[in-house]
Amino acid sequence: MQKIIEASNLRVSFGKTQVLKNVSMTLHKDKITAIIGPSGCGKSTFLRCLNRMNDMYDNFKLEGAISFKGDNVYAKETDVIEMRRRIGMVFQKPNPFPSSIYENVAFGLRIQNINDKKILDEVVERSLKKAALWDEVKDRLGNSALRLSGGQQQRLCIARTIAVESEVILFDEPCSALDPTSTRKIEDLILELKKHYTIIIVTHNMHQAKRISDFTGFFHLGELVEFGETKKIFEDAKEKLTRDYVRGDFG
Amino acid sequence: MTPLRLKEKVIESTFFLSSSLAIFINLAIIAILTFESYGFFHKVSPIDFFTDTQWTPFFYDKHYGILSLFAGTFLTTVIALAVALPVGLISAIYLSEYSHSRFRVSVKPMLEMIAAVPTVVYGYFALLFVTPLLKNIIPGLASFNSLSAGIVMGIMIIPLIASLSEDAIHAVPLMLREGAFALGATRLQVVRRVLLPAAFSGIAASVILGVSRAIGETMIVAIAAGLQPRFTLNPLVPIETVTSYIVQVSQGDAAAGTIEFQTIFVAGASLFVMTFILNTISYGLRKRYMQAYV
Repeated sequence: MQKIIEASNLRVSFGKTQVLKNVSMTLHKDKITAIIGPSGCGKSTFLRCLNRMNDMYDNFKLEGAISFKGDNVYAKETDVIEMRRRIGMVFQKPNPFPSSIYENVAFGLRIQNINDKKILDEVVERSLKKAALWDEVKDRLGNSALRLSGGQQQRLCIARTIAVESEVILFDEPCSALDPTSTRKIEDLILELKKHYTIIIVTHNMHQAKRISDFTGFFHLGELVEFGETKKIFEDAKEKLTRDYVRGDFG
Repeated sequence: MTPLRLKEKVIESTFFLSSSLAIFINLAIIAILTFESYGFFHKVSPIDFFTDTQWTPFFYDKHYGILSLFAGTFLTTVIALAVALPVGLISAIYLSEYSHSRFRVSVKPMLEMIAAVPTVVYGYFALLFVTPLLKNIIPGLASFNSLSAGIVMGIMIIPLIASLSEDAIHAVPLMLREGAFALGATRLQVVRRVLLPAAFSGIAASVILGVSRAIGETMIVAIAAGLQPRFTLNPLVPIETVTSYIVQVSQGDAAAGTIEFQTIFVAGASLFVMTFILNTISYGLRKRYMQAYV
């Protein structure tokens, strides 16, 4: 097993509120890692630290280190733009751009000044196929993405991320706004994507974590209480707090 | 009918009358404009009105070519927009996307306060400050000209465009920005490719409102642009806009019923038609580009 991202002694605060306290975690390549924990435990903040999505908040402060393939993500010389391209993200609510299906997928390439129609056509088709959306939209690529259903929009957002050839995909509760059928589709898709991508998924849904992930980290009050193989966390956790949470005693 | 029921009826009619008052007044204005313009077109052919390039109702050789007033209005409006659109939009983008939130919160009300400066002050600013300044650069500049009136009018409109466009840009959901950033977009790319298209309707509405404001603006042009109707697009010479013509004649002693008197109304009707068309376009744009966010 190859490690791809490593967080060490991460302490994060927004203004005076400390959100993460001394979190260390190693994420493995081409595996699915689930991050679970009650609301406000810092799991989304942790996820957003990995591709520096918290940078846009004025009062964000981070100590400790995150490395991605050996490079320090928060180093001064890091090219944040390039790094965000390699570590993609899918959000809680589907957020397609108010443009066509085609342009949504092509967005990541266009901002790199790739405008060759042949390349774009090819990438759009391949990405939509990988995101299991191609068959549903191939005849209406020019239609507005906003007219797709929630589940389709979410798969479009996944296609958009795949299109820029990211290596890691961060999922921030990707199914929380979807119905069970769409959720199932996204889960199947995530399992399929695992072959080529490293996946980290924040989820509120313990069954989801259990079903799809290889590793699970349990966060509580800004601390990583326990981290290990999913089977172990759900069936034979070391910490009492973890056992209580996965049993559904609180949360 | 019971007394209570009657009372309800009275209250209802009072409310209805109050809310209809504004509409009635507007209808009355339209009626008067139409009536007086009708009288005007009895004496002057509409063809002359729209094709003649001279406007000389008070001269011995009378001409009634509204084009020379339109030219003045058009010229000052274009100059104003050339100043206000880039500056206003860039300010809006800076405030919404680049500035610290504390800066934004304190600057926005100030911007809106600038809009409270009486336009007569702007007029004198144009005449006594901007024109002499420009004369240093452009030797041939007349003391009354559309250039400095237009520039100052543009300055007056900047807060309007900046503030309304900022509202529109800021209202684009945060998650769209995040989606673009997560794909490796730079801030400028997020602005250009996501925010501006998404906020297009609001920005267009602010610009059209700015144009309406410029077309209807009276004081600045009456003071600084001159009162000489001229069919020209030369920004360096005195001109007259539709609005400043109305001011000029209203102050004089044109007797009711005379053609001089009617020119005021026909000019007013032209203004009305122009702003009406603009508002219709703005409404159509807004409907067409209205984005339904989830």
